[in-house]
Amino acid sequence: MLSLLSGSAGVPQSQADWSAVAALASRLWLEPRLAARVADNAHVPAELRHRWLHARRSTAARNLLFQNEEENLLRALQQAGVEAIPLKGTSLARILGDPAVRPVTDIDLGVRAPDVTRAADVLRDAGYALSLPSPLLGHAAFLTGTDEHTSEVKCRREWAGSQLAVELHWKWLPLPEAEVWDALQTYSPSGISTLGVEHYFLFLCSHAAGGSWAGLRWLCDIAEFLAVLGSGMDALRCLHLARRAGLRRAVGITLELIQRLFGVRFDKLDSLRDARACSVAQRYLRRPFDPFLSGSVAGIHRERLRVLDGTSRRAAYIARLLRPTFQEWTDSEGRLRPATSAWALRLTRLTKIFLPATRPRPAPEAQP
Amino acid sequence: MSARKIRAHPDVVFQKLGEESVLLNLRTGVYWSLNPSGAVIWDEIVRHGDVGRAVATLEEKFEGTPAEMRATVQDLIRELAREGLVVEDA
Repeated sequence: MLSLLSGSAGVPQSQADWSAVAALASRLWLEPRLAARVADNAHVPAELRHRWLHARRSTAARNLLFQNEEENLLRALQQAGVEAIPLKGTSLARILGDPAVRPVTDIDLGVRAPDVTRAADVLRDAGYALSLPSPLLGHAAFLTGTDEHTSEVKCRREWAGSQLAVELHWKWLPLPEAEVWDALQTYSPSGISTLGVEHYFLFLCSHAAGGSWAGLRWLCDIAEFLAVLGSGMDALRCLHLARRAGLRRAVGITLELIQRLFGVRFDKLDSLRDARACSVAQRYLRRPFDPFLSGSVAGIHRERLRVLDGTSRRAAYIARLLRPTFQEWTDSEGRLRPATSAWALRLTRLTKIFLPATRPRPAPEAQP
Repeated sequence: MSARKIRAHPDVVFQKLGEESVLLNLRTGVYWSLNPSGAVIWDEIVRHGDVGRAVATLEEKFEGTPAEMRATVQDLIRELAREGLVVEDA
């Protein structure tokens, strides 16, 4: 699988368990990407190449839907005076030069925090049902308590018997909002305006780290991002931003992983692949195809803490973890709870997440 | 036949995929994949809407008699129209 993804000829047909490769490709959503890689690779059985080509066509069709909807929503937001940018999704595929390479399941849009309420109104007008109640989106205590992993409103609407999903984000990097927006960039030939190349790279690394690098396709995205845009990236600026965002270790681990998995090396940022980064990467390399490394909410938080730069970053993460989330701020009717109730509920929930469940002791056996 | 004007239905979006094309009907969610010759015909329809021009382009790019080319274009357009992917201008 890895040799096919990295574009090498792969093992001879007789030595591979192709049914296992096929199952893995399907489970990891890598079929359209592999189709592009193996179109003329005679080592791969023709039947499998045909199946992956079919997956690539259906991905292209589905991505067309998302691309069309994304363009409609960006236009509607612009008309409402809300500046918005596409994140990941089909826009990233087009920036990378292959609109069918990434199977997309939703549309990610980024807006400024003060614009969230207006952006949500636009989505509601477009027929979307929002996962968060309106009062919460204008609630400063909630918005400031979110981070790049939790700033999202999920929105859904019916489409041709299926569902379209949009996620609205207002934070995606631990950097000042204005700075990120001031560095937007338009990519040619796609003409897509989104994050500046250094910010985009850090965002992809942060996103992969937030999910414990569990999605092999995310690492494929980053390897291709570097292959396509790496030469235009300002390495010093990237290092500077990574340090300020506390992402040096996350970037270092990511770079180590893509070099070890796909042979993609990005020398400009080699200094971040230090011993610590390589050591953490080694843990992931033992199970590169396991999509759920952490397995629990507590595990995910521990993994994120492990890869943050420095004590102050980790302390800030824990402080943010203590703050109420949307689940504690609102009741089942969508009404805002008083702050004291929200904080109390948060602490109760954290206790449940982090303290191991105490099992009742077995009753002593009856003595004769 | 050269006077016929065809255009893509407004609900249809498409994407070139190497030598092929993928079409999606946004209203129904149904998609079609066009082989390389079909993709050439679709491209001509979208850009010029001219059936005669589609036949001429096909003749340039593929081997076959003019009659075969015309039949290929007519068959595809008939199928696309039946599926609501193209409309004929009056």
